[in-house]
Amino acid sequence: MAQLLEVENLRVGYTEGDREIAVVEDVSFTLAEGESLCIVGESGSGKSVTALAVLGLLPRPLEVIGGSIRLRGRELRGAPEKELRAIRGKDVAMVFQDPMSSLNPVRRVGDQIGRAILAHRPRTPRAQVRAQVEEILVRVGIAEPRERMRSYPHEWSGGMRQRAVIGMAMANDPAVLLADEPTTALDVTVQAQVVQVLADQRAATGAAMVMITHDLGLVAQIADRVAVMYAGRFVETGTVWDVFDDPRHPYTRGLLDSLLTAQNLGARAYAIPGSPPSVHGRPDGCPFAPRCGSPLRTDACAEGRPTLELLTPGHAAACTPLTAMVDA
Amino acid sequence: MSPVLGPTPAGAQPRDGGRERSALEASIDAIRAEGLTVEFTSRRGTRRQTLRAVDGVDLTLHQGETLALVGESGCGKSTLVRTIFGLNPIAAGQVSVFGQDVATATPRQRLAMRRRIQMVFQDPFSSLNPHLTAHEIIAEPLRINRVYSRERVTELFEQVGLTRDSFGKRPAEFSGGQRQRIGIARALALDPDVLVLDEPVSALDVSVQAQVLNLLADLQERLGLSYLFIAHDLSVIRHIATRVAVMQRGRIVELGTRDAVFTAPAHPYTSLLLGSVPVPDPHRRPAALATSPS
Repeated sequence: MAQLLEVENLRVGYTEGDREIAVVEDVSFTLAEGESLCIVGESGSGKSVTALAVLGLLPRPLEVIGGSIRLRGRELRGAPEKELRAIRGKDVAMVFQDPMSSLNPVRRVGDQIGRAILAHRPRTPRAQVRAQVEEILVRVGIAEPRERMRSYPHEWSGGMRQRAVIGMAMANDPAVLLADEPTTALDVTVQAQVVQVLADQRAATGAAMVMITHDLGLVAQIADRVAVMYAGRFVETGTVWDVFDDPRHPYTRGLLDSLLTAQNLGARAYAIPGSPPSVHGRPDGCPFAPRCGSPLRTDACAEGRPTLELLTPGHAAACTPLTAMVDA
Repeated sequence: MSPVLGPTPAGAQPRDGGRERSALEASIDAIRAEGLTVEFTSRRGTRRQTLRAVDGVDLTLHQGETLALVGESGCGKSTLVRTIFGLNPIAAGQVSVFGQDVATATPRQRLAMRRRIQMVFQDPFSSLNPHLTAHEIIAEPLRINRVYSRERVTELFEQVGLTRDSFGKRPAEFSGGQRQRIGIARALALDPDVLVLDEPVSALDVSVQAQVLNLLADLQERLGLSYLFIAHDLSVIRHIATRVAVMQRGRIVELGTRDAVFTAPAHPYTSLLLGSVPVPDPHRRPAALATSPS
C-alpha cells in the first residue's frame, strides 16, 4: 500500500533563552490509505502536539524544530501558509476533543458546515451547499436535519455537536482524519455512538485516521496499529495485536496491567509508581527508567536514550535491555 | 491535644474516640434519602417551568460501604449530592445524615453534620486555591474549626502518601495525582465518617488513577470511612463499589450489589451503559466497528 502520510524524526519544541526544550522528539510513523493508527499516551506526553504539528497548527511558542512531514510525498514542514490552508480540511481534517470549542457559538450549525464546503469549493451554488449539509447531517445520524441545521451549537447536546464536527471534518472527503480525543468529553453511551459514526464515515470514504487517545479500550476497538507515547517519544509501536497480546515495553505493560478489568476485581489495582516527568524534568536516559519496575532494568537505563528498535517485523520498542536481548 | 468542639464533656473524647461509637450509633445509616425530590423553577416571561432534577429518590449509604452512583451528565447526580449537603431546597421527601434530617437541622446541628461528611472534587486543578501552599490548604479546615496543630497536618500528609518536604509547595508544583491526594487530605482533616467523592479519578492519567484508588481503599480500611462514590467510568466502579446505584433522569433505575448489577443488570439503561464501555481487548472487537476493506 502506498504511504499517505509520512512523519520522520519529528521534533517539536520551543526555545527558552538559548536553550531548546523539546516537547516531542524523534517521532516517526507512516500511515497507509485507509489505515487507522492510534497514538496512546498520558496528558503531557506530546500526543496532541504531534497531531497539531502535522497540520501546521502549533500554538506559539511551539514549533517544528526537526524532521519531516510528508503528505503523498509532498513536504509540509515549512510549506507556505496558503498551501497548508488548501490542505487543511480537504486532504487532512481534524476533530478536536471539545466540540463546543470547535464550533462558533454565534453561527448556525448548518452555516458552519456549509462554510467547510465553501472553503474548498467556493463556487458551489447555495442550494447545493444546503443539500450537501443536509446529507452530511443525515450521514452522522442527526434526525430532522433540515430543521436542525438552523440551530445554534448551544441548542445541541454534546454528542450531537461532536457528530456535527465529525460531519464537518468529513465534508470534503479528506484522505486523513486526525482525531484528538474525540470522545473523551462525552458520556459513555454517546461515546459509543460517536465511535460508530467515525467508523461508518471511514468505511464510507476510506479515510485513514490518526486517533489520539488515552483510552486503551477505544484503542483495542478501532486501531490497526498503535504507537505508545511517553515523555515526548514513541516507546512502542506495532499492530494492535502486537501491542495488546505481546506488550514489550515496561510502560506499555504497566498501562495494560493497570487496567481495571473483571479479572482483578476486589484486588488492589496495579499502579505504576510515580508520575510522568514534566517537560522540564525529563531525565537524560530512558524517560521511564525512574518508574520502571522491569526485572530487565539496569543502571545503564539512566544513561543513554533508548531508540525504537524492531523486536519482530513491525513491532518495535525503545528499551535498551530489550534491544540487547534481541541482538544477542 | 486539640480542643474538642461542641457540647462534649471536656476530655471525654480523644480525637479518634469519635470512631468508638455506641452500637446504636453504628446501626444508623450514614446517609438516607426517602422519596427525595428536588425541583428547579425557571421563568420564561410569565410562564413558569418546573424541572424535577431529583425525582423520588430512595437511597441509603450504610456505614463502611462504598456506594457508587452512576449516571450520565445531567441525570441529577450532582443535584442529589448538593441536596445531601443541604444546599438545595427539598420539594418532597427527606434526606438525613446519621439520622439527622438535613432540612430541619439547626445551624449548630448542620455544622456538626458537615464535619462528619466531606467532599472530594473531580478536578484537582480547580478545587485547590492556587495561592495557598499545600500546608495552608490542609490546615484551613482545621483553623476554621480551631483545632489546628502542625502535627495533625503532618499526620494527614502522611496518610495520603505525601512527604513533609512538600508542605511549602503550591498546587501548580504538584502533579494531578498529588493534587488529588491534597484534596483527599483536606477532606480528611476534620476526621469525617463519610466522604462524597465526585469523580475523584476521572481527571487523572490512567497510570495514576490506580494509585489514587488504592489510596482510597487503604483509607477506608484504616479509618472505617463510608464512601458515596460518583463516577461514570464503569471499570472504576466495578473495582471499588460495594453496591451500585444507576441514575437516569432524576430517578434511581437500578440498585444492587456490584456483582448483581454488573453480571445481571435488570434495567435496560444499565445494560446500555455496560454495553457502551469499549473492551480493552482487540480480540473482542464489535463487528460493527470494522472499517478496513481488507
